[in-house]
Amino acid sequence: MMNNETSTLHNRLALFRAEAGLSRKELAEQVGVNPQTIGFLERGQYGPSLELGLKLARVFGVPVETLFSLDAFQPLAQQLAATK
Amino acid sequence: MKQALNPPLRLSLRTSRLLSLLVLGGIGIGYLGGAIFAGPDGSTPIGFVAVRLIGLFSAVALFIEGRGQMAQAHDAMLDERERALRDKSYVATHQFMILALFGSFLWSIVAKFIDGWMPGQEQALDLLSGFAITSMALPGIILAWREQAADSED
Repeated sequence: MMNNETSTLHNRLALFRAEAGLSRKELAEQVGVNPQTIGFLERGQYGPSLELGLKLARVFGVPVETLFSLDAFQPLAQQLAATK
Repeated sequence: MKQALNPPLRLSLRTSRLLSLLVLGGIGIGYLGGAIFAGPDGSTPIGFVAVRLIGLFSAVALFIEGRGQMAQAHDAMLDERERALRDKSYVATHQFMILALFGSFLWSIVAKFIDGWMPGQEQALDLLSGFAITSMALPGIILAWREQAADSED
């Protein structure tokens, strides 16, 4: 996962960041990257290294597979409907 | 990423791409055209010198601009995505320059058989200068064309 214009890696970074009330700049500072890189990650235009993936997961206090997946995540609306 | 690039020198993506076209056009036409259409005494026509200067000044502007800086930056100044992007630009530059060198080498063989154009000593030096300037500017040019426009939140 070192390089990576990826179409196979999905993430819920934007969702977790919005819930945590963090701006891209704040999140970027916490994991030591350029704020633009957070944008690239959220849009799925860049796949992070294992180190960056783990750092991001640590910021939100979740396992890395909660944040990143090789399979597409179920839309939030569907997940909410399923829990009712 | 302990340090950041100097933001005031960062030009817009559009301006950088425009500069990159001026570099490639100015250097390509100025040096190659100047070598092909050199006078009998080896002098370069003034028009081609002017085009070279446009290419050279554009190359300097691109060199000190953010993407040119990124191409030359120390690893600690870039994050992993930027490092990956920069590395790709150097690989692409290497491939392009090798292709150009190999093409020139093939032409030098073919030209002997078909009595084609070959540069004189002065023209060969000019072409080498153009080649060197292009290889220095190319990583920044590739970065300018590979970069995707940021969204409003960036």
